[in-house]
Amino acid sequence: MPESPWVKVTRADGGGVGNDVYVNGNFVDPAGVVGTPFQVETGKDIFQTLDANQKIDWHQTQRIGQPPPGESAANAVPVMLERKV
Amino acid sequence: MIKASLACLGALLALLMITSCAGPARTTELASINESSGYRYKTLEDKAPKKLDKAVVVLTFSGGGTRAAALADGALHALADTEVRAQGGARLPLSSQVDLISSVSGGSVTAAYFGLGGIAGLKKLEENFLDSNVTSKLVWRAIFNPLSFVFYPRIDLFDSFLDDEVFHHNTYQDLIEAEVPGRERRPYIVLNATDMASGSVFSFNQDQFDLICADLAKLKVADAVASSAAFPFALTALTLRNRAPCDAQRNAPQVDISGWTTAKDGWPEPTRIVADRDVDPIDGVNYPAADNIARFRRGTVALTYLNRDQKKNFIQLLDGGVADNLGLTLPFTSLTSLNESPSFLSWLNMGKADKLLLVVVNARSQAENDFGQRSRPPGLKDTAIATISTPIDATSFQLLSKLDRLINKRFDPKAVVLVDFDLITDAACRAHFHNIGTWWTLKNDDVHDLIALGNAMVLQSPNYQEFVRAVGGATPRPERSVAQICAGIAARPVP
Repeated sequence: MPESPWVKVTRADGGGVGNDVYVNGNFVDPAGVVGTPFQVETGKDIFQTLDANQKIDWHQTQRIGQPPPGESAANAVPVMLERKV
Repeated sequence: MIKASLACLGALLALLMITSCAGPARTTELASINESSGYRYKTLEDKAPKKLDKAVVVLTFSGGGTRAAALADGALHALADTEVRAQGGARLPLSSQVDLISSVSGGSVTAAYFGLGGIAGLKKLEENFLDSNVTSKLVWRAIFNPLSFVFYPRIDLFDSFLDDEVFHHNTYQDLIEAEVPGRERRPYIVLNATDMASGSVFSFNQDQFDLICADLAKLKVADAVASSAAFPFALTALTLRNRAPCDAQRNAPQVDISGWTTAKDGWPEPTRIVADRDVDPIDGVNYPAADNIARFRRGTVALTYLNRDQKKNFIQLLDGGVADNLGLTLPFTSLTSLNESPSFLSWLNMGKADKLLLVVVNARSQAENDFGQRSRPPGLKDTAIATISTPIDATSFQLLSKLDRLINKRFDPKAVVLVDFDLITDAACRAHFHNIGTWWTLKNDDVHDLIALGNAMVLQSPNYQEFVRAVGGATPRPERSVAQICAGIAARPVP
């Protein structure tokens, strides 16, 4: 059973494609980029992007369960980032 | 007069006992938490960046005393003998481009030595440790220091021997700063022990030491190796003072994306722990939010080190083999989680890596027995040995199998190279290596055969050769093939 399901992170306004996405405050390595599927662990995760001043500008907390059958980028779980107020 | 002398002697003995009870704290309080300093992958990478394009190179060294240390030594020589093409077209030995070595017990001696001195340093390891009568040196040390032997835990004798005669008082700061000609970069060496309280792997890196609020850079390398090799019953556990909670944690930077955040109880915690432990409490049960129960367990164990209830002021560490004898836990997390540093899963996601070399050195022994030829059940000693070794091996193999399945199809090539006596074709030769005991002193012939075997099993592996081709290199032939090593053993007169 896959334990690293695919997610596809988008921004609520449709922008930010290609920006780094960080998961759970792990700023050493970005997890992937907005708009392109990438893999995470199952469980609840905090997805964030940063602005030019390294401040969080878009974020989402979402539980990622087991992905649909046939684990692949094509079956990625959607995650939509909301603007941080 | 006699009474006074006796009183003085009594007081002296009492003082000695008090001193011994206190034991060495070993750790130094961390001044501040800084993700860009301390013994972390990022610190080493910043000092000397990797030059091998889009490839992950990971080695794991198992336990098994000098048998394991020698086999790991041979595997490292195989990488040193292999030239690959680095960025800019330069030719470099593959041993200079290792990302991570995760080790336990006997394998930790070799891993730490390689971290401090590179391939050139391994020559000294062979002279000063592998070919040396370590057991005899330990016995003499005990004879010449009878009081310390009586009053201090047995692990301290082993620890002081390693510190004085093998690692020469080097600390983790030396692992960060050591300049080794021809090495190009510093491999990230993670020695692993087992926390007796939780039964979980305790890794010696600053990410772990942030949790216990201790500065790993100031810890002696010998302390980490000794705890990684503290085989149950033969040695006592090694004690580390847990400095948490402390000001460094209270003042941990909580700016956006810091790795730390304020938890529900008002104390700062690493964000990854908060995420790992996220639960849905229903009628008194904390149902893990994660489908992956292992992740919840990981977060729960990590939380205990923060010592909020002041009940974990000391950490008792045993041989890393008790929790994972292959040292696979950290590579497993790095390859499957975004919350580890380095996260090879992140590298995959970001296109920083697409090729993997994972060399798993397993020096598991399997002494001959007659269990299958007698109706009487085995005695207490055999039962005790089986009780310790059976779960160790089962955990290791399950983890390796799971890892192989999880990373399938993600890397091309995905080169998993096993250095394992089980793979030797010749039954008598296989039995010969399986029967080499778990000691700190072996016959010189056995040591040299083990080094040659580790070297040959890597260089002969088709998976290894495929990886080397993919990074623009060519695999040399081993000095002695496995078949030649076995033939040499068969031709040797039986003592």
